[in-house]
Amino acid sequence: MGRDPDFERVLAEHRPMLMRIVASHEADPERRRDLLQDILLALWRALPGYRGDGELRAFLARVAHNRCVSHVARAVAEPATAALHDQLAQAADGIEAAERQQRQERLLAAVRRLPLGLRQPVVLTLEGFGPKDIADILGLNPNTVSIRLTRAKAALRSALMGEPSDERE
Amino acid sequence: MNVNDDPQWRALAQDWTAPSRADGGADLPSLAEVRRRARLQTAVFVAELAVCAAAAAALAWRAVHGAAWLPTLTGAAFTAFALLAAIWAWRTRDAGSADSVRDALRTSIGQTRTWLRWIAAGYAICAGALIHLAVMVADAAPPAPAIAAAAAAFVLATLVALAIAHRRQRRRLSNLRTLQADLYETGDTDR
Repeated sequence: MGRDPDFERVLAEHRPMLMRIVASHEADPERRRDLLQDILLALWRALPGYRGDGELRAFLARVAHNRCVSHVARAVAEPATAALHDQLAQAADGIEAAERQQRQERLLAAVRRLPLGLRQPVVLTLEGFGPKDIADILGLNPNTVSIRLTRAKAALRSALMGEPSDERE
Repeated sequence: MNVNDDPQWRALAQDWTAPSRADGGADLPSLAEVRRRARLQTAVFVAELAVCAAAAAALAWRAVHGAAWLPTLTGAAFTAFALLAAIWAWRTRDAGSADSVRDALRTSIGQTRTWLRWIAAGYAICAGALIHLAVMVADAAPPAPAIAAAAAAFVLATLVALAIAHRRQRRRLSNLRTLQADLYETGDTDR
């Protein structure tokens, strides 16, 4: 089947982005796996319809974010905070890698605490998408994206520096 | 504002996209799992169609062999409704290709409302099934008491399941509307 090798190749190339989008919407490992399966099934069905208009990354991110919204709605409450692993004890390549891992986990936790309306443009910005692409993916006005990113940056700064923030779910 | 234009976003993006030790590939479902899930959905739909076809065949056989018209009619209506519900569920099984988050939310809200209508119809169908059962019991050739009791118990169990589903879907609709308000709060200039 000609579609499978393409699908595998697309997955291999964009797996890190999909994993990060999923992780930003779900902390529980089991539910994260279910959400990832949902996304992959949706992508498997949607990819044949991709007509090449726009970047493939943006297409994948759009499908992923759509499924994440449905997942968050099904989950009812805000994502449960799972216990973080002890990265320092498992660092294989030194203190620098452990510190980077710890910053990444703190950033991920801070992103998860953002309201969904701020979380989604933040995740896409961190993935390298520009305001126009983000507006297209989320169906927003570019000005709205800029406003939300300004608020989100302030909230993240507060969260990462341990200060109380007004932006909570 | 692109991430590369802002040093603060750039620093956060570097941490965000740094290779993660937890991201070792073990969490990614395989293509085989994705295909298995798709096949399972197809199998459930085919099974529902088969059950409806078998019920229709049984009703037709009874009609040909002189069964009373009222129980046959209510049975046919019940089977037709079940078939339509199965087809509707199959057609709305995946909303992953909506063009935007807004569209995906609208689709989810629409599907949830449809589920609520289907549940309301389910209540009516259960009432109709009990009426159909009563008609059969009152018929000149009623079914065996054990069969009638089993059928009544099945309908009652279905009513309980519908009530649980009704509560779940109402909660889901409320959550979706809250999400919609959160994503598209008043004052934002959205497309």
